[in-house]
This record gives sequence, structure tokens and C-alpha cells, in this order.
Amino acid sequence: MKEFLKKVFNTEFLPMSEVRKVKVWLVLAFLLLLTIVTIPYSTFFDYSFVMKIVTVTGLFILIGVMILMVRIDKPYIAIQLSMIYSILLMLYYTQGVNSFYSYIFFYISLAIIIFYQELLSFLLYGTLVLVLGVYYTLSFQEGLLTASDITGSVYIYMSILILFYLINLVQMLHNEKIYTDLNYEWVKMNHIIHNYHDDILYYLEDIRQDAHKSPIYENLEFQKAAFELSKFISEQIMKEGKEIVNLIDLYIYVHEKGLDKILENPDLSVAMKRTTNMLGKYLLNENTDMFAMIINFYIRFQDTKEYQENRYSYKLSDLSDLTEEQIIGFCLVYCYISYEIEQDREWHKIDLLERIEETDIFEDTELSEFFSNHVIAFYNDNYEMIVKYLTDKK
Amino acid sequence: MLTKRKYGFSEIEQYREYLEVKNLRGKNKIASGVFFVLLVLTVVYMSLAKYSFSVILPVGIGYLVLLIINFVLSVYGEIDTSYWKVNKYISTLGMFSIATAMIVIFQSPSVIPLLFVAYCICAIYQDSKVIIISNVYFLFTILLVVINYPELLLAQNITDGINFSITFFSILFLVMLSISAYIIMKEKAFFHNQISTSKEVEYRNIDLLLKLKKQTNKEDKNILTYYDRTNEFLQSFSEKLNIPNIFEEKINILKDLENDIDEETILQKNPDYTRADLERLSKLLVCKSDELTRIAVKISKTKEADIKKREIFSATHFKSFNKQTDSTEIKVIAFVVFYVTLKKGLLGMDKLTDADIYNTITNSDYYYNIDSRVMKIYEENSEVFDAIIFDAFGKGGKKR
Repeated sequence: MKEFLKKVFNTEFLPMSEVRKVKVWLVLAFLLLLTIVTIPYSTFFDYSFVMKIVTVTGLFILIGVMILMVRIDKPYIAIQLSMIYSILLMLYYTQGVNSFYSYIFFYISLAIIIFYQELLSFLLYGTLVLVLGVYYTLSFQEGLLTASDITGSVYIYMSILILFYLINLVQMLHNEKIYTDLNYEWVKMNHIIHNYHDDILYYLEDIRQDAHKSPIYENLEFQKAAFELSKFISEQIMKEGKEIVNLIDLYIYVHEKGLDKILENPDLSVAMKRTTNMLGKYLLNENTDMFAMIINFYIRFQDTKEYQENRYSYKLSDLSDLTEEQIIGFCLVYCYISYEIEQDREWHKIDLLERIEETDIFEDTELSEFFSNHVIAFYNDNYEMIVKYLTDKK
Repeated sequence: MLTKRKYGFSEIEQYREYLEVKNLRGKNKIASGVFFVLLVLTVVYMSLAKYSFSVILPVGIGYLVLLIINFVLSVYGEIDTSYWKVNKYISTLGMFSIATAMIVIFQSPSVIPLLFVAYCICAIYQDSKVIIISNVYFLFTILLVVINYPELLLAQNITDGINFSITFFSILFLVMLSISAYIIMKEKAFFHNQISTSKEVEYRNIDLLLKLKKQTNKEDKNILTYYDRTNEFLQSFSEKLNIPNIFEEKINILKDLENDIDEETILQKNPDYTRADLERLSKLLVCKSDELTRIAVKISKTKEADIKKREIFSATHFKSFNKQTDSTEIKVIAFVVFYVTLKKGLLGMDKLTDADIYNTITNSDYYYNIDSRVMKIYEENSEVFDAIIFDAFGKGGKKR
């Protein structure tokens, strides 16, 4: 419970899959509370006793099924079931008693559906609730209207429910757009950072070779520490540590043999290949998730310039607002990239058959992210001269 | 001036704030749109229901005032974003006040759901203070209705305890809305966190990349030729257009700055230039400044980033040692390898202290990237971990 609350309060650090689970658990807790409350309220409902028993029992069973679905890692099914559940509960109330408080269930159901922020589910289940709500308002208005109610109050009920639905729809579409844009930017950043890590890995490998040291995974102290720690943790969690020692052996072996070669070996079992593939993400001699997390850990302790407003801006116009200076800056950037490409060719980092030119980089990049329209126009108008004069001619 | 070492990135706070504010403009527009729709619907309804002008006028003015305030603050927000922040609180208070006033004026239960709509509009802002204000106002109005206007809820088919039931289910609804608003707010924070963190990670990775490049002697030794090539090109460009070469002077100043010639001498040689000009020009230096180099490095790496649409919401981009697809053993190995590598240290990187490693793992976002069971064992047995490392590394291992 404590762990769960910790997760709820720190949802902003969790990946979407984890957040989805947190959401399902919260909705399940809410639905469980509603179902418990339903037991005493059932006495006011116009159903037969058997019907009441069957419905409430059915609802509890459905909650059990949902809990099971989350437990066996099928949160999507649990999400759909919880939305259906909220609609069933709403129908049970609205058909059982004709009153304003049962009318609130249309909003409660919508709130549960909205909670998941999944557009298709909202359009499906949310619209269903809206249609049922409008139908209920028109058909069972005597439970909602007071003796001296205002003119057209039925239409007010309907309009507000429709408005509630529409505002949420607009909000969801707006969120969807914002999140898609943010996610796109984040994924793009991840790609770019991955490319930086390619070079960082290359430089670190260069430093290691210059120092005539063996790779860290071949270091006996490293291996001993990894064996002992894995065994210790494994014994705490799984009460035994033999299996994990074999896995560490495999992990080190993957470094030596190479992931692709192991996966290509026809003699290996499917289970072994699956495990090897899982370990592939954590290799130390390639640009993997492990390498990225280690480097991103190190850079936290790197001395850096103090924050300034344009810290994350890569626009040349932020360095100088004069066009002629921006043109000079552009030329220098071109020369720098030209040298980089030439050097990459020398190190054979770029496949010689897949020859990348400076112009490819400039053509495939969203130049407006870096240069003003004047500079981009200058580049397009003087393309041939730029290639002739600024390309590294080593 | 260099920043103090922190477990997280202190620099990202301002960028996170920027992302927050950037989206406020759109949210304000949605809220204003809904206020306008509500104004039209209310006035049309009241006119059709033949309410007197003296009743229609205050309600209409209420909405109009809210709309005008919203518009004015939105315009001022373009100059100073704090107006947008103020706007969300004024909109929240305004919308709930109008909803409460309408319940009192119409004296009909049909208007009560307007509170739900008010809550929903305010939830658009995804702000914790707005949620608190909304919750308090919502509760206040519901209790006001139940206590002061109990007859308002007495429908034609009266059931016992209806006031209690309405209050109870309204509160349950409010709880659901609050949880929903809270989690949606956190989801938004997740994205803002990821983006701002990756911006800082990128910044520092470029720093590291440039540092390692220098360390491995992979830097271009002939950077001054860039200026010569640029000058040659721009000379030819000027000749082609039959215009004087306006670039040469500046390129020569850049070369002088690159050659460490002091500013005073440069200013004497170029009397048309000021210190401010030199300061601006020095940002274009390739060797002595890293700002232009950063742009070049980023351009050279951005080219290869080709993103497929389906990748956008893929969980594979979330780097962690707690992937759902991994078995427990793999999660343990991932953490152990990570931990031991940090303790051992990567050749070429600065050595981290044991305290830095422990504090960052337990007090930063890394905490959530490690299986909770593994994390618990680490937190409860950090001494054992240190002892194992000490034992394995021999003299190299240090006690924390």
C-alpha cells in the first residue's frame, strides 16, 4: 500500500505502462467503494430481491476479474472492463431509482471514462453514456424535476450533460495533440542523444585502447563484484542465487562472442536466445540502454555553465542578429561538419559505399531549427559555390 | 560561474516552467471559447423562457466580465506570462461564482450540474492550485444548496435521505474528478520532465563529447583554415554579385580573437567596432567558444534522426532497468552491472564518489528506473553492497 501511494505521488517519473496500472488500481478502488455503498442503497431500488443479490454479486465478481487482469499484466482488458462496469453500475442505479442522485451517475461514469484519457474509448463508451443520459432525462424526468421547476429544465439537464461531454472531448483532443507533439520531440531528442552516445562510446574506447587496458567486463574485480552482488540480491528476492550466476556468465559471454553471433547459432534453445536478447539491451561494449544510463548518470556530475535563457536554443540568430554575421557563422558550421564527415570516413565509421556528403546533412535537416530564413535562402541560392569553397578537401 | 553538483538537474526547472507556460495560451483559448458558448446558451435560454431583462442582464454581464478579463489577461500574457497564470485563477473563481449565482437565481436542480461543467473547464488548466480552489468552491456550493435550499432538491417523487444521497454522490464524483485531474496533471508533468531532462542531457552530452574529442586529440588542428575558406568563398560571392565584401573585416576580427589578440588591439585596428560588437562576434568563434560548435554538432547528429510515427508512443524509448518485458533475474543483472560499473569507474570519465552514486540512485529519477524490490534491498543493505565491492575491488574499493 505504501509502495502504491508512493507511486501515485510520483507518477510523473513513471513510464506510461506503469501510470496505466496506477490508474486502473485507482479506478478499481473507487468502483469497489461505490459497489460497497450500493449494498445499502439497493434497498431503495425497484428490483426484486433476487435481482438485487444477483446484480451486486455479479458486480463484485467483475471487480475480482478486473483485479485478476491487472495481476496477470493485462491492464488494457481491466481498463475496458472498468468502463463497462461503471456503465452497468450507472444503469443499475438509474433503472432502480428515479432520482437526482442516480442522475449523478451519468457524470460519475463519464468521469471514470475520461480518467483514462483514451480517445477511442471515450468516443465509444462516453458517447454511449451521453445517449443513455439524454434518453434517461427525457424518459424519467419526473424524478429530476421539482414541483415548481423552471421552464425547460429538462433541456438544461440535457444541455449541461452534452456540454460536459463536449468540453471533455475538446480537452482530450487538445491533450492528445500536446502529448503527441511532446512525445515526438522527446523521441527525436532520444535519437539525437543516441547519436552523441555513438561518438562518446567511440572516444571512450579510444582512451581505453590508448591506455592498454582490457574492457571493464573482462576485469576480474568487476566480474567478482557483479557475481557476488547478483547472488546476494537474487537470494533476497528469489531465495536462491545459482541461476543468476549462470546468467552473469552468459552476459559476459555475449560481450565476448557478440549478440548477433549468439542469436544466429541454430543450436541454442529459444529460451536461451530470448534471455540473450533481453541481455542485449544492457551490454557495455555497445551503445545500449545500459551505456546511455551510465553516461547520463556521469553527466550529472559534470561541471556546466550556469543556466541562461537560451541554453537549449541552437539557433544561429541567438548568437548574432546581424545577417552577415549569421552567414559567416553558417559557413563556419559548414566547414566544421565537413571536417567531421571527413574524419568519420577516415575512421571508417561511415560505410564507404554509403557515402554521406555535407549537403546530405543540410538537405535532411530541418534547417529552420538552426538558421533564419535569410541564411537558408543564402544556402539554397549559393549551393554550388558553398560545396566548392567550403567542403573539406583533405 | 559553474553550478553546484546536484542529484537532479537544477537547470531544467526554468525550461519546465517554459513548457508549462507555452501550453497555457491554448488552454486559455479553450476556456474562453467555453465561456462564450455558456454566455450564448444562457442568454438564449433566458430569453426563450421569457425572463425579465433585469434578470438576464446581471447573468450576461457576469459572463461578459469574465470573458473580457480573460481576453485582456491573455493579451497581456503575450508580454508577461504571469498574466496567463493569474488568468487561470480568476477564470476558476469567476466560473464557479457564476455557476453558484445561477443555481441561486434559477432555484432548480437542473442547474446544479453546471458545477460539474465549471470543474471540467477549470481542469483544463491542469494546475494543482486551480484544482484546490475548484474543490473548495464545489464543496461550498453543494453544502450551500443542501443547507440553504433543501427544497430545491425535492423532486416530484421524493425519497428519504435524498439530500444526504445527493451530497454523498456529489462528493464521490468530486473525488473521482480530483483524482482524475491529479493524475492528468502528473502525466503532463511526466512529459515536461522528460523533455526538459532530455534537453539538459543533450546539452551535457555535447559538453562531454567535445571534452572527449579534445582528450583523444580528434579535434581539427587547422580550424583557422575555416576562416580562410569562409573568406575566400564570401569574397567570390561578393564578386559574383558585384558588391563590396562586407564580411572580410569581421572574419579578420574573428581570426584575431581566435589567435588570442587582446580586445584593445583589435579595437584600435578596427575603430568602427565596439566592445559589444566583439562580445557578439566572439560567440561565433569555433575554438574559443563552444556556442557555434554546439550548433554544428547538433546539426550533424540531427540528420540521422528519422522518426517513424509508430515510434512516438513506443515504451522502448523509456530507458530503465525495470522493463516489463524483462525477467526478475535480468532486472537484477542490469542494476548490478550498472552499479558495479559506476563503482569501478569508466576509463576517461571523472571518478564518482560513493556518496554521489548512492544519493543519485536513491534520490533522483533513477530510483524509479530500478525494480522496486531491488531498490528496497539496495536501500536496506547499502553497507553490505559496499562490503561486497570492497571485498571484490580489494585496495580499489572504498567504504562510504
